[in-house]
Amino acid sequence: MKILKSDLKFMAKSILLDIDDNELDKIYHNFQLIVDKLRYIKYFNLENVSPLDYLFEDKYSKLREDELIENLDKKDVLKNAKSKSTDFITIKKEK
Amino acid sequence: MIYTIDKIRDLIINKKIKVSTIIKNIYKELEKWDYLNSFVTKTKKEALKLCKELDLKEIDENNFLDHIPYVAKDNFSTKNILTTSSSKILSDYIPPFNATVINLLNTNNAILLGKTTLDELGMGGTGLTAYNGIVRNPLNKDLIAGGSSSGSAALVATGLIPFALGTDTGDSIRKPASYCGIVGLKPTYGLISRKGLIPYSPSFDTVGFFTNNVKDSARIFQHLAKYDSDDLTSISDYKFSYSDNIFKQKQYKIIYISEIYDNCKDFIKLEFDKLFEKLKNKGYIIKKVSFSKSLLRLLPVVYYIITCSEAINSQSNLTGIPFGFKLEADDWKKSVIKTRTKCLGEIVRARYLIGSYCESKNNQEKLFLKAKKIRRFICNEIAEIYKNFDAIILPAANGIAPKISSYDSNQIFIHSEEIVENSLLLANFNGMPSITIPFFNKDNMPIGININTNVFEEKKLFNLANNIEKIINYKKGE
Repeated sequence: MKILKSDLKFMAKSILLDIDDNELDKIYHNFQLIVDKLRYIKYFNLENVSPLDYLFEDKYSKLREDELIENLDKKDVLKNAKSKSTDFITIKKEK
Repeated sequence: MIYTIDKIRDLIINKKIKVSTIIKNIYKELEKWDYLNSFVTKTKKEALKLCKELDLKEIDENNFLDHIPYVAKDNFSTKNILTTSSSKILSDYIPPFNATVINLLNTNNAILLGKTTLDELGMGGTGLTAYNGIVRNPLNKDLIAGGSSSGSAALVATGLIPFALGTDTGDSIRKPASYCGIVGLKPTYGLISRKGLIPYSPSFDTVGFFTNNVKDSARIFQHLAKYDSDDLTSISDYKFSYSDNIFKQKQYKIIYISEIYDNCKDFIKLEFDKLFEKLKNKGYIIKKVSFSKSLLRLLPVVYYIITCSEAINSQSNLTGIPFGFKLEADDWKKSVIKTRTKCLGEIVRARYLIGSYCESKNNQEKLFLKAKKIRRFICNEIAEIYKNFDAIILPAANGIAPKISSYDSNQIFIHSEEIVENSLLLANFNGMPSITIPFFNKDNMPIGININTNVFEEKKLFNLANNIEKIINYKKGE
């Protein structure tokens, strides 16, 4: 599988990272090396195999009952925000 | 002197030394090791305050954590104590709550001495990528301590700290344990709560710890393996009780994997052969079995694809807006771009980018979902082994800790083709419990041996590891 550098560039933008061409080249090179090793997959028939989402899916994957739990105090949560008003975080509008 | 749980209990109970005196001495001794860069934060003030209260209390002889000092990797949330995960983006983050394991340790009167350096946000296996600098190996300062739980491993290896919390997503406890000559446990996935852990890859992340012997590991596990309804992957019906009887030798059937063993360096194979002979003489059954070479080669590839894909989601709140370090700009979007670009390290940025690529609409089927299918094959192959055998023995590393200078800054991933070096990942793929203990020395540096049992079979793991520990009879520095 060939990785497209243009796709990587687009991805960087979409996850809000500013990555220059040198860094992009380096990531591209490293990633391509990883993807090249996927060639060993050809020895396995992946048809009708479902992806493994949770290790103990047979025994433990059931949803628990909803329950009300004590939440963190708003004041405590807002302590770490750089910009806030009375009980919410504030941000500058996008120009 | 090596501070084990027994040593500290003996000092307090029989020699009537106050715990505050012991802790002050440990902090004093730790100053000699400052060059390791193991600590992000020392919590001396809080620790000595707690000691004042504990000095007035008798030690609870049934509680192995009571009056026992420890350190925690800096990716565990600690209320009102800086928690950086060794990243600039969290360099001023002070959590308003404790991780569940920290609460459990507090309840049992364990004494937190500090928070330890890790590879930034848990990504890396060297101890060289923390925002707050590199971690050195206490046995040789020119060598790595391993990662990502670097500071925790290095501090236990000084002998001054009886145990240290770490996390193991892809051998991050068990490999540093090998490089530092200590015991490193990764329990079954889901047995110790992950609530309050700054996540990296939730389907792999496992809380574990370092100790100086297997007995301490089993004792600590008893206190930390508790169901937590706040962690959706926490296992609800598991119970483990420690007693010295759990170590009574049983005749287990053990395997080693030919594709891994055959690729070990000759001097490691030789030590394995000697150990296997001793184990046979003790009544253990030892068999060499085969494992798909293609699956072993796919381990690191599949690991990177899944973990990078999970990281981009689990760490998406690292924007500087709700918490953490923030760089100002004209609007919120520019601020987030500036903050993430300048405050996340190169390896983290690369892994985010790769993760988002693997999860994107066009590539999800080809990369992310395919990787998760291969994970199922790997789990199935391991499950087949446990139908007939009790344990899998692996080399914890294919050599001693590498030199710090041997790492190339252009390398985002460790591309080792070596099947041996990646084999510890097997336990992360299927969640089985896995422990590294010191094995032998080469060039005055330790190399560990790794023991695995089926999921939820910690009792068997501790039994076997304790008996192998006795047979090996490893002495530091020999």
